[in-house]
Amino acid sequence: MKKSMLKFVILFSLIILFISCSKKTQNGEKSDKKKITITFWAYEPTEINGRELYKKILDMFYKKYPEIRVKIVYITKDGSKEKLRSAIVTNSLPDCSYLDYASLPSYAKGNTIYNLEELFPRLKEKPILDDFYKGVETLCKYKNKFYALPLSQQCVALFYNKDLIKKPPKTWDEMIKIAKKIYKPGKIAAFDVPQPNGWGAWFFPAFLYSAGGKLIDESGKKVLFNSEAGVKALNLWKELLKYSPKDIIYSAYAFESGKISMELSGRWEIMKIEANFPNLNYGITLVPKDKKYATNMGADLLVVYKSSKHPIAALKFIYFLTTPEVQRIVQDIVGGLPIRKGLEKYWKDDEKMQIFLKQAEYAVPPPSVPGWAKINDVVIADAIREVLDGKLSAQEALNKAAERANKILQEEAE
Amino acid sequence: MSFLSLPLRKKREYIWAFLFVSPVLLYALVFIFIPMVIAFVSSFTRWDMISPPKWVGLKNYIGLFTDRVTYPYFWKSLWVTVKYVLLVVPCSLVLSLFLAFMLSEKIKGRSIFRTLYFLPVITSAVAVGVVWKAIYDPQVGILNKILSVIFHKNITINWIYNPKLAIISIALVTVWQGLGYYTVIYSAALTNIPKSLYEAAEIDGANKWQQFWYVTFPMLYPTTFFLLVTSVISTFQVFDMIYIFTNGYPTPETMVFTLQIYKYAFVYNNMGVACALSYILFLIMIVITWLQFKFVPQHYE
Repeated sequence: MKKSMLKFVILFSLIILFISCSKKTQNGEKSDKKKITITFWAYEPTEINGRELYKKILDMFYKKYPEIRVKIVYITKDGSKEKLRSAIVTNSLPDCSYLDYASLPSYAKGNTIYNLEELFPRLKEKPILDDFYKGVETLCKYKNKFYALPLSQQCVALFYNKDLIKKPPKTWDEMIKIAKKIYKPGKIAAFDVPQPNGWGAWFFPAFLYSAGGKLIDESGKKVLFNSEAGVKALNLWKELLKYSPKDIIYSAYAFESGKISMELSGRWEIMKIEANFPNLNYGITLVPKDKKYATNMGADLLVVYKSSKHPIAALKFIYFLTTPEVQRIVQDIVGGLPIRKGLEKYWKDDEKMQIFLKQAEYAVPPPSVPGWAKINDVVIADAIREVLDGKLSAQEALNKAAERANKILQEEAE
Repeated sequence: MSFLSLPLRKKREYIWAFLFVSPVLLYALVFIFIPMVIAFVSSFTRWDMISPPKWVGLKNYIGLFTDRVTYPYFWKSLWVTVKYVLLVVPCSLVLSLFLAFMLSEKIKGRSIFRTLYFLPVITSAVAVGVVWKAIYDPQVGILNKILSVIFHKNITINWIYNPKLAIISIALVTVWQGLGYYTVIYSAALTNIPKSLYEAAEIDGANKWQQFWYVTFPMLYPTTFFLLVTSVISTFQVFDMIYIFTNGYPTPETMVFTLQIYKYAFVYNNMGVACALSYILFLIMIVITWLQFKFVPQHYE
């Protein structure tokens, strides 16, 4: 009996030894004597050749910085928030990673990421930061300082079916006119009216700003969307919904199969259409305007974590990702738009991309205040639902929403 | 009697027993009990998982119960979840009992039917959700097509996006998916009922229906009780199916309780409220299970 007990203890300690050993070899790899290795968490590319393209980028990077090695770890975009937050709590963050723009304020406030402006002077060459799109720059900053560099941006434009619409609308009035003409009960819907949920609410600013409105005041403490512009925007949606039956617009691939004549979407949609519906005769144009052109936007950012042992190397890498030659490759991986102005030349022959690049100039960034995700998901979505269902007038719904939003803002600021 | 005063043989046995269960104990400690304690403490804090947590006392709980501006869907989500459970659990139990009964007869291809009914159970909820979303599509979905043929007119029902239908449609899929599991357990229970009881009933002149009602049904009390308790708990915690059907953007009509927990934890950056919600759910489950143990017959007397 004693012998078997001894055996057990030996086996058990061997297991522990193995576990601790495997941990050590990992660490050993990291601290390679000559070369610095940094870890970078990137979203798993949606395109099949995405990983190949990342390899290409790394080769370019190694040519410029032979002393640095980058280990890319792919994480799913949907799971990235959970993953990063768990990594913060367990102190196992990478050196640098993607970050969605909405998380930046809390990460900066929580002192998890570097204020990059503290690191910039330690770079040999001065980084170029003045040709970012305005909206992108806003999303990278916290308290007016760069806490992140942009990787890519997304904005929406109007997709229209060329078989149904000869001349795409430029203004809201034209949009309604076309909608009336196109609508065929039970067969063709005019416009894919945004749904009354968090996703649909994301499109609201595009119309609000176009009518001259604003989401929030400068201080970030009071919302302004219950203005005349907000009312006008929701009423436009309500009007368009008359010509867009829900049983058509909520059907899958309705635009692609020619049942919806106009929809709002981003560049990712082009890739989807070209892969699955190569025969669709469609065009892209700027989102129709009321007073001025506008669109909503989002961005993927790059950050360096305070826990990193090689912050400068990490910064070198993420800055490298923003340089024009790399941007040209990156955007085809993530299906986004470049974050620096003046890169139109890379997509010279791509008519659709040209329109998106033009649309990006009118992009308005979402407010970067804590609590906005909830206001968007819950408060604005509720207002849209109440208006589209005809329960409240646009003014009533937006007033109610503004009151709720202000209270949430106040609570979040505490 | 303390451990030390036990005879050596007994002591050894205890040590071995403990060693054998220690991996599971360790697992439970690390992955269940410690997180439970942390979640309990976190529920009294305001914590975004980035900055250190801040103690707020009972504020999260009070807010959830009273503040309809900051937490607009708390009661609503509870009601949606209850509605969902009330749809799924009775339907699952009745249908699976019926199926088990049918499969207990000696019919041709019985094992094939059993396999087919069990197949959805081992399919991932994600795959099931994607397939059913296509089936429910208002324009091209096969369900509307079939209904159109039956009723001789063009039917385009919004199964998922009609606020009144959404939760019913999703509940239907859940019933369909879980049916096989309940059927297997009921089948096993049915084969365990002694034949002699039926023979005795027959001699007493009971017809098939009476046999079912006075013999089979009471004999199935323990099984039904087990299935009731476990299915209420598991359907109360529905998440993946709703997430897939709503693309992660639920409307108030599809915002079930666990989805709300997820939203607060990882979208609205409020782990404290998410933990408070989890504990409220935990308490609700304890109360419901206790009520079931108290009022639902577990054995045939």
